[in-house]
Amino acid sequence: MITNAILFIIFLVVTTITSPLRLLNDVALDSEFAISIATASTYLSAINTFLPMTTLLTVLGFFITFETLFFTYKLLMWVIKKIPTIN
Amino acid sequence: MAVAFLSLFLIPYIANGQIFSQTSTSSGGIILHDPISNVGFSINAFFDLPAGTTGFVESFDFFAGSNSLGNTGIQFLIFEFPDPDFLTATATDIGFYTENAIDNSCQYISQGAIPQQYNVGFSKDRFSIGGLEATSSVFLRSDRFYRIEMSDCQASFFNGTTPPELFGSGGTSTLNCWLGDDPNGTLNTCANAGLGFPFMVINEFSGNTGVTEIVQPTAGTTTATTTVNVIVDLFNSGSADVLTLFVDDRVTNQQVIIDPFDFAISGGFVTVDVDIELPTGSYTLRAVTFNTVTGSQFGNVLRVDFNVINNEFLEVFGVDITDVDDLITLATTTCSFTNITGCFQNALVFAFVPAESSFDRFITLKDQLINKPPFGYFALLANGLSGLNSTSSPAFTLATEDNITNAIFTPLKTGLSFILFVFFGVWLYKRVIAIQL
Repeated sequence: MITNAILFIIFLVVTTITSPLRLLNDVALDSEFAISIATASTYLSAINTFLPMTTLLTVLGFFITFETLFFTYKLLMWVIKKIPTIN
Repeated sequence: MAVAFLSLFLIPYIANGQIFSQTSTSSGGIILHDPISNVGFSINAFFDLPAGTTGFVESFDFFAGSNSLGNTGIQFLIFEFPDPDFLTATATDIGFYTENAIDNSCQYISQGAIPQQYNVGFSKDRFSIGGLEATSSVFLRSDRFYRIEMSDCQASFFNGTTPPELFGSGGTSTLNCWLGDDPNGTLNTCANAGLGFPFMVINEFSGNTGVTEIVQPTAGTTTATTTVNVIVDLFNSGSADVLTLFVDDRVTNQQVIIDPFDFAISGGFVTVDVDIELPTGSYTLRAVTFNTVTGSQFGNVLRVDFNVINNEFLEVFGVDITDVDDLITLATTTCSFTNITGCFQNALVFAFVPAESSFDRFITLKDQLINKPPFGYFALLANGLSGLNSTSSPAFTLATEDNITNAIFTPLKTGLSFILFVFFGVWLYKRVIAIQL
């Protein structure tokens, strides 16, 4: 009950804040982007015979994930610090 | 009337080439129903016959029971109505009652709620219920009576001295009857319990003591706790006195000693429900019935394979607290004066355990926002980049020999992978220690 109430309050706040965003149209990615990714994949597959492209992409994925999470954390902390009375 | 009716069955009957004798002991044979001590048995039967018509009994529904016969059942039960000239009887005094040897309440046995039907097809003056043995599931328990139940039947029955004859037109029709002396009386009341009449037991039921099914654990399952609930169905005609469980470790092929391993069983259809403690592992459970006095095994050994994993949360809390769906079931403890702890548990669960709908709302909101700017840009970009791989069809092929590839490029590739991971590890370490929160 208590947890339900807290989660509901958080949901209300988030819904209120994001309500203008939900009125916007969906974002669509240019089809050329997907084509370029597929083409790049074919070139990477060709090189994969000699160079560890699979490992490179895996490491790149870890790197992007870590940096994204850290950036998200910094962003949230920045937003929280903007709240009055919070240092 | 009861005595007169009894006389019907004091006639040896030949059926299927066998001669059945009769005895009057309480261990089998003819059992006289004693309304005082409730020893004996009666028959539960439905009859669909019109009054006043002729023909033969096409079919009827039959159940039967016994009492004080030890752990035996009844295999053959024969009605003998030698007098064919019973077309004009108008007696209405029919009493069919139910008595439970345990609590004297009315009840009757049936195969579920559906009476077992036997097609007779015999001449109208004689028929046997040999079909009983073909329906082993209609087991006649030795600890209770069974009721003759005839609803809405018009009795054209005996007047106390002439045996009744069941007759029909070859098709099912309604035979009306009622209890007591009043032809318009109330059907199927227990008020007259104790006035049932005896029937003849010809043969004792002699098959097949043994385990019929291992209900739990089911084959191939994984029990998420070290306490394994074992449920075994069996039939005991009285030959056995215990159900023995064996547990074998499927990895080491060694038998695992469980204590206890013998579980006492009564007669009839029995369900044994026990818990056994087993460490984590893969096991085979074997179940068989035994007679501890003679050391004889009865029936087949049934076996089932299952696994046991140790779920600490399940052991401590009774539910898996890492599973939201399972967490909701925490509030099922009985709250009573004898279990105050359960009341506190229910209260805490009610106060703090969130409902699944609380999380579903956020998931729905996420689905709505994921394609909206600015989140949509990042989501689509991430989805697009996730399609980047090195395993799709190559755009071109670099010609080489297999031995060169295997001898040079494959080890080189492996080495480079190792170096890449090492560099990534070093970078990650330096990045983490440089973080300022």
